[in-house]
Amino acid sequence: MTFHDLVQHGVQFGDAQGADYIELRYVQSVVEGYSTRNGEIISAGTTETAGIGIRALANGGIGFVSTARLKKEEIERAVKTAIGLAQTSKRKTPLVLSEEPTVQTRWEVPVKIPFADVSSETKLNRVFEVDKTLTSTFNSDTLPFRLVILALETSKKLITNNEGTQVESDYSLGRYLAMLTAKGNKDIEQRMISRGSTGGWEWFADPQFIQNFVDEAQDAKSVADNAKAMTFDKPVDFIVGPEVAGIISHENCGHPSEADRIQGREGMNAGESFWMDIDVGTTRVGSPAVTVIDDPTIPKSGGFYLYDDEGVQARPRYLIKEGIANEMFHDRLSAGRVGVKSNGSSRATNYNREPIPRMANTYIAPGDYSKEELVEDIKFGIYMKSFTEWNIDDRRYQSKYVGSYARLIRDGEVTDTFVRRPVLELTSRGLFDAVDACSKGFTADQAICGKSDPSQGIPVWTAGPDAMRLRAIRVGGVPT
Amino acid sequence: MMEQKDVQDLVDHALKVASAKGDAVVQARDVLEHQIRISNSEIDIFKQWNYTVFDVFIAIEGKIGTTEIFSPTPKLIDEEISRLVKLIQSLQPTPLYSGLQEDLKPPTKVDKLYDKRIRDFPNQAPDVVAAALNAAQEAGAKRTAGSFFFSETYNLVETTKGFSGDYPESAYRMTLRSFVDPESSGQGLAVGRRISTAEKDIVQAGQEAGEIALQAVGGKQGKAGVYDLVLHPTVAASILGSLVESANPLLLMMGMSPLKDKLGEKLGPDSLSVWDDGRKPNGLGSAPFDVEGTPTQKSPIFQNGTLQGIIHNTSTAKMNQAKTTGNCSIARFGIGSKMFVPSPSNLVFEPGDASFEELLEPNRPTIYITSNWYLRYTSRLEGSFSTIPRDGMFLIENGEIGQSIQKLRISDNILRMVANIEALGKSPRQIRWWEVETPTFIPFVRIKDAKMTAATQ
Repeated sequence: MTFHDLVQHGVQFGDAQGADYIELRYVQSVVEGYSTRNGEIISAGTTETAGIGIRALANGGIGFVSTARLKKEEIERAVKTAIGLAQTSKRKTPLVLSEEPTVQTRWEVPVKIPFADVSSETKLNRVFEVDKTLTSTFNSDTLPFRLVILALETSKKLITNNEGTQVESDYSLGRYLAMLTAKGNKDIEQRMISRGSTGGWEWFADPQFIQNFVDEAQDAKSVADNAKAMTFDKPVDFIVGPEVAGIISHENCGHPSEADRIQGREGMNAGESFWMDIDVGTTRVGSPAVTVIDDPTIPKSGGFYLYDDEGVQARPRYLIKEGIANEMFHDRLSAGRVGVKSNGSSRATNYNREPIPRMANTYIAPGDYSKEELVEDIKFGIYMKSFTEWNIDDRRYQSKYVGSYARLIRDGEVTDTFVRRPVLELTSRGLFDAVDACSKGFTADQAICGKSDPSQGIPVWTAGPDAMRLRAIRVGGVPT
Repeated sequence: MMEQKDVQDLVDHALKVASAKGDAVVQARDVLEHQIRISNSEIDIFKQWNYTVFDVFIAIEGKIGTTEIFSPTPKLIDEEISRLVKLIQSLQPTPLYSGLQEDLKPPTKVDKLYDKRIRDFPNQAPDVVAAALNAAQEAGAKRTAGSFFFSETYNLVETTKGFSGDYPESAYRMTLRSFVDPESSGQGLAVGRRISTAEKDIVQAGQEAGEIALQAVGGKQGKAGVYDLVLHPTVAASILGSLVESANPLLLMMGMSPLKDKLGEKLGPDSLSVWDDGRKPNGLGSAPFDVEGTPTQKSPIFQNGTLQGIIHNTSTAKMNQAKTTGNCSIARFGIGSKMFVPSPSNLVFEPGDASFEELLEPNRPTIYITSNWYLRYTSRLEGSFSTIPRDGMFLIENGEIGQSIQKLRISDNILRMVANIEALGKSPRQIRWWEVETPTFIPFVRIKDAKMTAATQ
């Protein structure tokens, strides 16, 4: 049987077995990885998987079974088991899915040069080229550790359920992760960088691919050469770059607005949310300058999709609109619990994981100013272009971002004085309340968003404008 | 699950195909795993994974590669190995490989790896969950969330140097988190391989989660400053374990360990002794042999505060003029590929002689932390990091657990914290959960002069 026949049979079989809802998700995935350390290959390989994830709703409970044995008898066993597991849950509060339009469609990521058409020599040579450029631009004493990881992922997916939905897709994502360690006159700075784009090999072939590494290494070297530890007795203004604004949009807004967390479903692991205590639609969680959007439909984006893993059409989500909490991420399960519609947020990392509400491309909406206009108004402050360490509590309220490339601002100009690791240690509310303006521009970083148990590291973009200004911040990170 | 004979036949086939090309290792795992996820004191989802996966490692003239084959058949094995060989031939030699273990010795005997009662456990598991939730509620919880994994695995490893070994294993790990209100929570966990004692341990974890959650009620904003810390084993495993895990040649050569050039240095007090112990009874990281067929062993990492050794496989041992410690693994690295590198098994901290009450005694400002998450390094070379306490956190007042506090962050340096270890408790626990991936046997630990920070606005 073809995979089309198998999933169709599984859905019919599950329906006949009495499942209230049955969904089969076939995913065939190929992930290639190439890693080098200081220009020498340390790892290369391919992981190819193909299997079917089965989710059944019966007696108010949910069972999930995945199998990579693609035979009719095995699919029947797996479907029966999923229904049986759902029934043993014996829930007092039955689970329901939101009602959504059924859809029969297909979508794909546009690809110019498929990864499969490029030889592994070419792929690896591109990674070697990064290292050669870095060592010829700087030298190996300046950059003693250079780790570069290239990851190329393609997948084919078919989602069907007993309501009649059938969505087929072809997906392709290229990304890299690198850690550069720069040794300078004063210090050592470690810089983790991650970029990516849906599409094909064309993204890696672009000259900007190599230039990004050079720019990042230069920043790390500048920090290691020049950064001075400073103390700030009084509040100062901050300008943060798109990398910092992007992680803030993800951690301080994206995660707390996930409906499953708000409903307690992630209570054990990823945690709950301070959005449990607010009224979405009316509560102010930031200044009017703050609008945060998550949009899976941005072409070429790292979190791109057009239909989610429950077959619901994707659309932009306005999480915070001019400072007011506006919308949360819903899948059909979280939406069903509160009687609303899904907004197409359901994602799973592979066939063997359950789909749950996830972010896609989360960003602070740009404003009308230029970056220079935002700096002009600052008497004394810090320009924090990038960050190193960060974390946030599991209610997503107490966050910390340690600056990497950071320079002092005086009298409306970014000076040549580098500040060593300034710390934004702020509540989500304290942070978003302090934002008074955003500039134009949009720059995205590729990230792997971790959530759930077993953990599902899913590709997302975190993005922001060229500059976001925060007023009167008390610099953190120091015990008093 | 598959018949063991069928797994054996497929592994033989894979090794035969791979050995025609170079050095090879085939590691097979035939797994039946379940998970029950819980929130608001109800089961949210009951899952089953039933799969067979082969990890194949091949080395051809110093060039190496790995592939992962799910649901292997002879045809699929032939195709995947052919593709892997083609990939390897396009690569360059790696510094990380210099041959497989050839000096074969009998596998280590490891107690309590497998309990046949795992077979019936899927039917009993919902009742065990109900009992744990009940215990949490009786201890004061209003609602409880949790994640409960249990599994049975048949493992088989063969190498082109003539090693062949197999073993079955069973495992469970339950983590429960109780809430009295959204900001008053407590965690309990139960980890092991012996199903006969699982229910008792799991119910106890529920009780501990409920008790801590109740104690946490009325938490006040903590004040930033320098404190002594008493770390619950869950927190000690996360923080101190992260340093011991970095005694790994791969991390050292990538600039991702603060232990670089510190072998032989005294970094902690005399009371600090830690081993990587691949044969620890009941340990979730235990096994009779590694993927090269080297018997697992108990290897000192810290002895009386001195960094004594790092873990190795045959290749990294040769690079470092050392001996393999039986820690070779085919480990996921980055995205898409795996590496043939040393990985930790179980981290085992030597217990001290202090009771929990004695750890609370010193008359200095002290905080007791029951759980943490999100440990991130500013610089892995320096060891500067921060992590966030979650669940119950308490001031110690007059040698007893006092005021519940909240919203503080440990912002310190791992080397300084290790140097400041003041005492270890006498009752170690095995810790393995979402935040602690390497099974770690560790007691309560007291650390002096740790830096705690808080949000400034």
